[in-house]
Amino acid sequence: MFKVSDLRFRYPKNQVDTIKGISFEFDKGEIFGFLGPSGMGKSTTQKLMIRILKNYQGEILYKGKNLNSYDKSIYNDIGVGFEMPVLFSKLTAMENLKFYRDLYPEGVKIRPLLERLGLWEDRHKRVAAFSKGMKSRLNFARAMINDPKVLFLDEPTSGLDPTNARIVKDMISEFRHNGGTVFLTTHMMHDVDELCDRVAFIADGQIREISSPKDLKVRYGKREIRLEYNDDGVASKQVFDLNSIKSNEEFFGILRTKDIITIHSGETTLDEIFIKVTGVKTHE
Amino acid sequence: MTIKYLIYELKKWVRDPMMIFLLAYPVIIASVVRFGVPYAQEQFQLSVAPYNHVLAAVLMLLTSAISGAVIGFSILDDRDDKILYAIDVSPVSFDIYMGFRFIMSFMLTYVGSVVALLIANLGGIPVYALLLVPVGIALFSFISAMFINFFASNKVEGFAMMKAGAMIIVFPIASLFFTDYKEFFFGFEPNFWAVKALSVAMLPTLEFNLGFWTYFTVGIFYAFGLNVVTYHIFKKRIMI
Repeated sequence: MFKVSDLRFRYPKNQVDTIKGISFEFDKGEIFGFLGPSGMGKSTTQKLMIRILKNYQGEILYKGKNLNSYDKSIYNDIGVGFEMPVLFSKLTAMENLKFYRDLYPEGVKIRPLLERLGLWEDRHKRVAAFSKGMKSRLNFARAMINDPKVLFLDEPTSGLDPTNARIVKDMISEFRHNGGTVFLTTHMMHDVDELCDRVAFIADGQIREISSPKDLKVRYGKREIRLEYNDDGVASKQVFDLNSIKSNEEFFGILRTKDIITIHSGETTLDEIFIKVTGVKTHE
Repeated sequence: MTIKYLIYELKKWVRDPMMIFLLAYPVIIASVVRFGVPYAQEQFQLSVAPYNHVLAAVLMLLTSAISGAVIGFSILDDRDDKILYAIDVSPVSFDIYMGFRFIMSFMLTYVGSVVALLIANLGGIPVYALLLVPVGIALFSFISAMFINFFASNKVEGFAMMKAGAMIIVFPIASLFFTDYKEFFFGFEPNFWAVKALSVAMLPTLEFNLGFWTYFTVGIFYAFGLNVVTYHIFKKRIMI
């Protein structure tokens, strides 16, 4: 769907490149997570892919054709959910969505979209009176209004309570199952783990790692099992090598004879991988 | 799209008390001219009839500056709401989006100027001048909207810019007191040409350097060209 090759970009007043020759691709029907600390090139890459920024070096292909060869009708295929709400604060939710839908030759029905996101009852309220979470949900609806084929989402669950975050994540999953493609930028590693087929970690304008969350967790984790059990009234812990576990009699002996408190594999989390790969904690 | 866009834009205006006041302002000033000037003439035994062309010019220039401020503030609102990002990633081009604003500022100033002149009921304005001169004036309002957005990033700054920008109308008004070659000193200000055309139409017995059509045509081309140049700078300034 999108193929990025040796992409380089420098802001006009900067001395060094912000994007330093990155390459990646993602296919139709894939949710591709693009992760990295703030200010390391994540948003710049997204802006280049949606053509807000131009004058880059390298190549970006969309459906096999150079991105620059498309006219503005390419945006009929693309929905962009910016991190900050992009909404007319003096217009109501309904007026906002009608305005945006009218920019496109085709669009989705507004009522099911607002009902799903729990905003139908507030459709006649001005956006200025909306809470942060309501704006965030309406912003997501705006990205979906043209029935896009590709969604670029920047922190789509930011400011949402768990119930509404669940709804948005379910809608993203359904969009993918219906053949849509998603480029997801977020700091929420739980969302990434749940939604993304593959992820790329970017730091200092370079891609440090690309793979599926599962593969990364296995590769960056330890091949071990940590066992916590009750040993005659005393809580004991023991670590076993996963590579030789099938012939480890001591391990199976404990399982058979002791009361097990917890069992954990050495698989790591995406949070830990993020810190290891980028060298920065996720909240930065 | 066009009609719907205009309706959304009007809704934004009427939901902002400051915009409502700005839209009413030319009508208030025109009403003051209509009822206040005859009263003052009677009270102080004065005749302002020889200066009707000055009053008409002031009314039109104020209308143009106010309309420019309305459009300028509306663009500032869009910038506050980050709407230009969304337009940038839609099939509609920035030029078309701003083109609507140009048309609205033109129409608002044109209709506002004609209505203000009709309310003020100043004698001696031929119908052709009443209908044509506001065309030249209306081309200026979008320049003033862009000017506000050059320097302001919010409405408070925008209000200061509106006042600073409105000062420029002093030049065409001052030019009305010159009829020799010195009047061209004020020719850099695009409204100069329109108000001079108005003077020719309203004061047929006076000698002017140029005729109505020359002032009018030069003014149209000059204001149009200035719009094009200003728009290019404006676009670079506010584009993401």
